[in-house]
Parts: sequence; structure tokens; C-alpha cells
Amino acid sequence: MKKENWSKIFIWVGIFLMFLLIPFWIENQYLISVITSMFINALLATSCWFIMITGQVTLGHAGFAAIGGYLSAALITKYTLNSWPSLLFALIIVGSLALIIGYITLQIKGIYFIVVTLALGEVIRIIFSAWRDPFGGLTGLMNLPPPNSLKIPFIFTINFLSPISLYYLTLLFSFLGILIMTYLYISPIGLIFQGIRQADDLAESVGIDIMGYKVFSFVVGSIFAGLGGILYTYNVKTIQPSSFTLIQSTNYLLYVAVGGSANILGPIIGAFSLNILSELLRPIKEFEPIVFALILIGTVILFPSGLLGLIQKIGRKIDEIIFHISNKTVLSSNVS
Amino acid sequence: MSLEIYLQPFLYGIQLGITYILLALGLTVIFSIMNILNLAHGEFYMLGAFTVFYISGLMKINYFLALIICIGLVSAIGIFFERIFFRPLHGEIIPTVIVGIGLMWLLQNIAQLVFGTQPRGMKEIFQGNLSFLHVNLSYSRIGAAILSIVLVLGVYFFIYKTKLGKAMQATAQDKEAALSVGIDVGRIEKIGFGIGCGLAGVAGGILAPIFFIEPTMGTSVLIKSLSIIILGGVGSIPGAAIGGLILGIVESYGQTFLGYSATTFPFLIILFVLIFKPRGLMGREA
Repeated sequence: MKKENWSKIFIWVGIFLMFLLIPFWIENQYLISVITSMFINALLATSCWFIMITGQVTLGHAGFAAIGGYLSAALITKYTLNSWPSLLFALIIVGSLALIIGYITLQIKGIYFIVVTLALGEVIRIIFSAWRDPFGGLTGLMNLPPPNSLKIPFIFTINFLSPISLYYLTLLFSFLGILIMTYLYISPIGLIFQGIRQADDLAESVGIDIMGYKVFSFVVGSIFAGLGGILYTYNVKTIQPSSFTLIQSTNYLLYVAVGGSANILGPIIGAFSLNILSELLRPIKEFEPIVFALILIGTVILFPSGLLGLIQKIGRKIDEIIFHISNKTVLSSNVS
Repeated sequence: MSLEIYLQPFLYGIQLGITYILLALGLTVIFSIMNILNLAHGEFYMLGAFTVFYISGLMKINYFLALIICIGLVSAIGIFFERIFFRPLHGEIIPTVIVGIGLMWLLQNIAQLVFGTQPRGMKEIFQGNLSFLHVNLSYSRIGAAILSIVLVLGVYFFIYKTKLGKAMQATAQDKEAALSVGIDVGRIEKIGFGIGCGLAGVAGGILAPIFFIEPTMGTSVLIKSLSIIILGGVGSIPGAAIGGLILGIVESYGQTFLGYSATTFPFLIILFVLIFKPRGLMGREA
């Protein structure tokens, strides 16, 4: 492995360790729950971005999060299943639904795909708000139990009653999800995805099954959206149709657009920075959507590559300045 | 006796459908000329409704004058946003969609701050009822339908019979070719966006005396307009007319006989038409 990759892995492990240590120096339960929801949003933004790298923009992402969350919640409460098998089961169903829906809708391209996914997301939400049993209709499902405790006989038992244990659970799952998507993105499959986005005709002409790859990215993205929905139900302990509106789907797009879509760090940076901003704006809550809207429009028009692009640009500027200074010193030393 | 149960929704549907044509027309004009899907379309409708509500409903100025002010004002707002938000993007699909979402949030939330969140109602302009065969239709609804027909025909003649309208058609068909024969595409796009927003605004003004007015009503209007232009075929005015009428009638029957689940109709129309007949009923061949 190249030296560069090792340093990258080192940074990732460092970030993970930092998040691992957060509960030790933040005592405030509220802040812990805020950071937990940031992880969920980062996972959802990344999965939305994962669909976007083949050049498709989805506005129905909240729908898949809803399917995941609702299935897991209903299996646990109504059919009294253990939460881990129901998590797996919910993800399998989300994946197979995404496979079918992907095969049908990905025939449609560009702007029409956006419209179709918009309609799809809303249809899913309306279906859940009309479906009384077992999904609870408009009021949804309340008082969901915490995830079952994990037991390894004679060694240890972990329960998920406290916010801190839920924090670790969410951290683990969202980190795992983001790691899997990162792995896929840097693998040859990721290169094919980018090829499809840049020139799908060209990709097809060299014998790439573009439909297959598009469906694959759609399914992977949707499964992780479903996982995000499940993690949401674990933390919030309720699930309602009103949490999965079009606004939610546009939120994920907002994270990606503001963070930048050039690589996987973009959506994560976007989710974190906007969630922090949202906390800072809490005293003037009613202006928050206006500020967000202006940030969104401003980023798209002024910095099309997002915060990520901005950071890279600043980095390059610093490099240039250092280069200049070192050149000058070399020159001046030559003169003397 | 039983006939009226079926006739009443039909008449409401026709009336609703005629005003839907006006709604969808603005969206389809912008989409075909600029290739921009203006997701803030419903918000321009909302602004139009509030304009008429304030001018005519509260300040007691003549309703028709209010409608004319409303067209001018909403078009001007539209042209302003086109200039500062959409022009810098040069019609790229994904950025324009995202900016449209941003504009949607912006206008909706500003409206909530300025106008308040509670739904408002406005007094009917044309009072009284027309009833025949045990079926009722208020003069407000008939008036709204007639105004809509006049406006839709006006737009039709503008686009197909005037020089400016033909320049718009040319721009919609091929931007570069239009530029090469000396059409000022930038100006056409500006006018097109203004007309599109003005149409949404005036539709809001026409429907203001019939429905409740609230800052969040734009979303459902957007969905309806989208389903109409997709059903009829994007960029086609006759298509928008047929699509509007079909949606109006289907929705009216749906609300009478199915209730809440009728709200899914526009979405189902979008899904099925795009999957099985992507060009819509009257769409051009690509």
C-alpha cells in the first residue's frame, strides 16, 4: 500500500478515536444526543451522495429511510421480534425494494428521475400515513423499546438503555456504513461510477453495463438510508410519517451540495457543519430555514464545489504561499 | 337523485381542471424555454394569492385591478430571482434544481414570517349559486374558470401568433440556432421566466377567493403542476390543457369517493406516466 493511503487510514482512525472519546469529556446528555443525530445525518447524506456519483439525483431518499425505520419498529413492537434480526430483515427488504424500484425508475434520466423520486418519496410517506396496522397511520408508532441488549455468554452483556450506549451504537453503525461506501468508492467500481456520471454513452460503448451499476449504487445508497432510518428510531424512540417529508430528502441534498460532492468527505462535512449551525441558530429558530436556504443557494452559485472545494482551495493557497516564501529564501540566499 | 352524486364532482372537476391548466402553463413555459424545472413554482402561486388577498380582500381595491397588479408584481419577483439565482448557473440541471429547492424554502419561510402561519380566507367576489338538475356551482367557481380560459387562450395566442412568442418557441427548440438567427436568448429567457411566474401568481389570485390561503400551500400546487405537465407532455400547451382537465376531474371524483387517499393521485400520475409513457399524452418526439 502507498504511503499516502496509510496516512489517510491514520486520519480516519484518528477521527474515529476522537468520536470514541467524546462521551468522556462531554457530560451534557443533550449534546450527546445532538452528536448522535449528526452521525445519522452524515450516514444519510453519504448514502444520498453515493447514489449521486452515478449522476442521478434522488429526492426520495427519506422514503427509504422511512421504510427501514418503520419495518424495524413494526417488527419489534407488533411482532415482538428481537431488534437485531429485525434490523437485518428490514435492511434486506429495503434492499430488495430498492432493487425493483431502481430497475424501473433508473430507465429515466436527468430531471425526470428527480421528479420520479420526488413522487416516490411522497407516495411512500402517504402509504405509511394511511397504513394503520402495523404502522400506526398518521400518528405513527410511539414508545419504541431500546434495542435488545447484546449477550455473549460468560464474557459481557451490553444494554442500550443510556444515551451514551446509543451514541456508541450509532457511531459504530454509521462509521461502518460510511466505511463500506468509501471502500466501494475507491475500488474499481467507484471509478466506473464516475465514468458513468461523466459520460454514460462512452461508458456503455466500452461495454460497461451502466444500468447494472446505476441500480447497484441505488440499492447500496438506499440500504444505508434504511439503516439511517433504523438508527433514527433507536434514538428518537418514535416514528411518524411527518419525519420523512420531501423537506427531509432535500435536506440530504443540502448536506451534499454545501459539503461538496467531489469525494466522500463532502457530505460528511456538510452534515456536520450544517447540524452545528442549526444548533447555533437555535435561539432564532424561525430564521433557520431562511439562513439555510441562503447558504444553499449561495454555495451552489458561488462555490459549486462546496466547503470541500473551499478547503482544498485554501490548502492550495497555503501551499503556494509556502512555496513562494521558500523560493524567496532560496533566492535571497543565492544572492548573498 | 343518484345522478347528481356523479355530476357534481364532474362539474367541480372541470372547473378545477381549467384553473389547473393555468397553473401548469407557467411551469411548462419555463421548462421548455430555459430547461429549468422551477421547483419554487408553487411559491409564486402563493405570493400571487397573498397579493390579491391583501390588495382586494383587505384594502378593498377592485378585484380585477388586484389581479393585474398581482401579475405585474409576481412577474417582477420572478425576473429578479431569475437574474440573481438562475442566470449564473447557465441552465445546468442539478444546480438549477438545488437552487429551486433553496428558493422554495426561502420564499415559503419568508412568507411564514411576514404573513403568519394560520390559513386565511377571503370573501367571495362573485356571490350566488347557479343550480340546475340538483347540482350547485357557485358563481365564484364559474368566474374563476372563465378568467382562466381567457388567460390560457391569451397565452396560447401570444406564443403561437406574436413575433415574441415565436422567438420563444425557437429558443425552446434550439438555443444555439435561435442565437444564430439573431434572437436575444437572454432577453427571451428573462421574459419567459417572468411570464411563467406571473401565470403562477395570477392562478393564485384567481383561486384566492375559493380556497384557503397559507404560506405552505405551494408544495401541493407544485406537485399538481408537475403531474399535469408530465401527463400532458412537457412543453406542450394542448398537453397542459388535457392534463389539467384530467387531473381536475380525477381528483374531484377521488375526493368525493375515496377521501384522503386521493392526495396520492398526482404522484401516481407522475410515476406511471414517466415509467410507461415518458413523453406524456401530447409530448414532442425527442
